[in-house]
Amino acid sequence: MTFTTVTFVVFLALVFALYWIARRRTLQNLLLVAASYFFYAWWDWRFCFLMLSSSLVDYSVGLGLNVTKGRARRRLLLLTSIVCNLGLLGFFKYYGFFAANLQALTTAIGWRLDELTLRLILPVGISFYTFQTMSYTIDVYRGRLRATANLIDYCCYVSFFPQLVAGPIERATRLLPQFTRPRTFDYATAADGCRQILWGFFKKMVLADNLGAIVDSIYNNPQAATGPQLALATVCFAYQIYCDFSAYSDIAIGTAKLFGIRLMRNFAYPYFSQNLEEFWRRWHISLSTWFRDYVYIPLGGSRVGRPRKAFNAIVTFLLSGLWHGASWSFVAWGAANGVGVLPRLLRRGKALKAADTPGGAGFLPTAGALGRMLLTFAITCLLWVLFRAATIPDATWNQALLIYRSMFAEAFSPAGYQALWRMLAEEGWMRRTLYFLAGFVGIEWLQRRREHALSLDRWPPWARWALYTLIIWVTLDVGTRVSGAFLYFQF
Amino acid sequence: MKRFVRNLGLFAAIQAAIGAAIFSSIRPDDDHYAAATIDKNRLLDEAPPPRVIFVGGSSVAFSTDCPTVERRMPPYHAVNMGLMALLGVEYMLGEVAGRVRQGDIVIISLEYEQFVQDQSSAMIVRVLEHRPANLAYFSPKRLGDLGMGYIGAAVRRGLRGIRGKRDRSEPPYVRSGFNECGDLVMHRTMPPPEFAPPTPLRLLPGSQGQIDRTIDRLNAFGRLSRRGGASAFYAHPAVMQSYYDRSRQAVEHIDAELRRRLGFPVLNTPRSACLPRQMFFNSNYHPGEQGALKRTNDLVDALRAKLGPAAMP
Repeated sequence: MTFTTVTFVVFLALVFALYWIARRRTLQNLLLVAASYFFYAWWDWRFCFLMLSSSLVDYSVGLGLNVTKGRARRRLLLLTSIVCNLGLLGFFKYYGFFAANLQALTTAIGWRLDELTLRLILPVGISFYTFQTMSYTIDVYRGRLRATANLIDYCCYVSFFPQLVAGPIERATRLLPQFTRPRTFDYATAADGCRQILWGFFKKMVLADNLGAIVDSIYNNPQAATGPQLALATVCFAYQIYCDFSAYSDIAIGTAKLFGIRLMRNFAYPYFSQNLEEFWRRWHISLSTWFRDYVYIPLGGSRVGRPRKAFNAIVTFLLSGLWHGASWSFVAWGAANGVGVLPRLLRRGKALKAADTPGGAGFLPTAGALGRMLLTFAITCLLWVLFRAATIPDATWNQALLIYRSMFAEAFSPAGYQALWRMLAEEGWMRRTLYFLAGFVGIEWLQRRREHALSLDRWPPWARWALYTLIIWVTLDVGTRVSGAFLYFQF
Repeated sequence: MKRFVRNLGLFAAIQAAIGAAIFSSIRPDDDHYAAATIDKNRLLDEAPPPRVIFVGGSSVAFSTDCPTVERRMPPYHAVNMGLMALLGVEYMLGEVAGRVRQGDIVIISLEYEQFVQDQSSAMIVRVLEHRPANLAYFSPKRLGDLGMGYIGAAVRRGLRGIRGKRDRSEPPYVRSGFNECGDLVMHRTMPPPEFAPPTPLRLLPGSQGQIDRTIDRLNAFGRLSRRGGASAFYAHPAVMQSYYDRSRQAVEHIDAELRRRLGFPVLNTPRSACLPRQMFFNSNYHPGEQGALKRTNDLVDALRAKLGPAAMP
């Protein structure tokens, strides 16, 4: 079930009503599990068995870890969980990739391997919930958490529908206790949840989908586009993926608030970052911190020499790239980001955290901060070209190289800019989308101290309601002209 | 909680009032292309059996000549339900399913794009404006999943109405452009406009799923038709030879999947359904008069061959 559908709106209203009528914690959790499996089965009911088996394995491993004392046995249990989860992920997500590469390798040395590929459908959200369940067993193994004996509570943690298919990837230490406590309805939290959901709908439908249409119209035929047109498409893609993914997180977090559950923040105005390391502290925070805690730190983290620290960072980013998809372009994108964070990472000094105000505390940024923000954004955009190439099955390295070459070679080409103006003059919907984008960047800048841009506590109620009404009808008008699935469902 | 429900209810009521004001400003154009759904549905209800019912998108509307069918296959009455590809397969099949009668023949012909991506657009709103009962041709799942787009389209229509704008469809895309059997014929007397060469068909990552879903829907329709005493057939659409040549891999894959999984006969092959460029009016799927006559005669020949002389009255 996709968030931006009538189905979801009706489903949410029903589950919300039943949840608060139920009152008792056990009943509420049971309802959430049933609703979450229904939500997941809306795509394909067969996927539910995968999620259930992954949940049961980790639930059992957790219980086993509770009672097992010996180190070797505990390790064996942990290994069982990791092998099961990564096996599941590897089979569904990476089998085709490895089979294709093995086939190419054997063909190159004169052997022929046929029938290696299977027609596998990637179950929606598998990368998210396997990481979430895996973190549970790792935390229990490390003694940070005592495994729960209540299967319903545990299933709630794994399958909680708002964040099931595209995160935020929650840790059991944070989310599970919320399901084991009674919840009381809080007006302010629920109202803020509604605001955040509305903002998510606006970002996804008005911005991400329309920006996606601009990107497709230019990137689908890069040979015919000029450098400035490709540069515009690249900037649009940067905001498409941001608005798309952060919209999902906003709707997820807002929905969870309606049930009295707090999910972690997943985006903190990443495009106002002043270096790539800060960007990764603000972008997909739940995944970045997952890799930090379960890969980077176990490898030695930052408490090692500089060469080892650089190695740790690159390995972490390579794995993060591979997490996004089974393609060499994702691996290259991960490696490039790993290299990109090194200059800041290897320098001593205090790094900005996601909770810090991005771009400085002033109303306007200083010239230096603005320069650093623009430079970081430009680097990020260049890296997104690789990312975008990886999401298109038949896109080749040559295509990514062509885009880079055109953007740089025609950076000062008057003919290229004329073609861009002509295109914008002819396509009113593109101009309109860019106006919305400019407005969005401005709103994000003004609201960057807040959790989300629609936190307007100081506005009088009538003004807030007028604004919400405007957003709803603009979203229905502008946001339904093109439609698209959430991009991160494919990861 | 009470305060939350009260405020949410009040807010929803305000939005409903705004919505009612917007939607009441929609001014349907009685001669709009989509309004032909009224005549087509009436025809389907009133034409006596046995009938040959053509199902599909605009390619069926353009490429079928029902008088030829009736002349060559007496006593069959021909009904052309083809309207728009963008209404989607579920709609097209849902419109006819359950309304077939003993002895009817249903020929389904879908644009190849239906097998690559789910086709659905705001045009559905136009059809519903003229015949709200057509809502029954959608499953609740589809309405729920795509309803946001339909509401958005209705909002845009209403806002245009508020601004005093009326949008009329241009000939031949008008209700009065159809003949009494549901064939679009107005273009047959119009000079063909210049048009760009068609975009070749490419299979997308999710296409196999879409192919499987579409064939499942066709099979479900076939079963329902058999239960009603009717026979279903599939026919590849009439397309330009150049389109076929450039889309051959994808098109042949669709044909192979249909032949492997479809529960009723396929009357032609993608190659045999091709027509020369000069037989088309304004796009790859829209033949002119000559093209429609050739296509219809080919289909009748194929159908007679499949049914055998004994089956023909």
